[in-house]
Amino acid sequence: MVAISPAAAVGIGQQAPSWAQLSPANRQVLAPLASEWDSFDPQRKQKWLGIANRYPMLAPVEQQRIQQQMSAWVHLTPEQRRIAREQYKNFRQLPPEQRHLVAEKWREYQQLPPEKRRELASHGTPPPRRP
Amino acid sequence: MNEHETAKKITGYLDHGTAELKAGVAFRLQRARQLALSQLAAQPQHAPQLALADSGGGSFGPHRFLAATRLGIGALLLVAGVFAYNYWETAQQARDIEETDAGILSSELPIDAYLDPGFEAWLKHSEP
Repeated sequence: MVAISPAAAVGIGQQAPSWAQLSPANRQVLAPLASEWDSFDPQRKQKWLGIANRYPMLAPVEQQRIQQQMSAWVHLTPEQRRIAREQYKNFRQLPPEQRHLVAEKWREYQQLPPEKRRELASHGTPPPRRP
Repeated sequence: MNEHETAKKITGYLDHGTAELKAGVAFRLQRARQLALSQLAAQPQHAPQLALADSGGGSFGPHRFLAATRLGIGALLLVAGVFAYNYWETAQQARDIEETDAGILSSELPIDAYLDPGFEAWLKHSEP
């Protein structure tokens, strides 16, 4: 089978612009990545430019979430990003009301004591409730 | 009258006809026969060449050239198709990742929620 490197497949002739070469609009959207941008490979730059292109079409609350989470996202390991993508695909398939419910459950989960959350994380299931 | 008798009668007429041919006509007929025979003798030299060309070996005749050209074009199309498919597939994967990442980052759930095994357990536990 013929193999094409991902960078080459993104498109011969397509640019992998440096931070200084980005448009002011893209620099504004991608501001959380400013310090790391020039170290990204062309494929990664293209992905973020794609996200920046989608940005104006998003609701203000979604735009805010993107900017808040960008930096954390690029510091995840490839394995963590893979897991997050898989989980998100499952989440996306839920009907809207169930998605809201899951978000509500996340807020409840955040209120649990840290030891309880650690227990859940290590054992997978919580111990039986006391009567 | 059966077939054999008819044939015998025809050859009789032909023999009678040739016996009465003039010397010049007989000479020209003989020359034409020799020419036809010599051309017939030359044909076997071509026949094996074509046979070999068709079988994929032997000398490089026009048929062989055509077959090789067709094969070359077919191979080129195949390679181009494989490249195009790989290109399309990789570009499709890149678009899919871009869309998914944009979705994760703008999602109402924070990134941690997708990565926390405790939350997954908590959700299972909370299921009715």
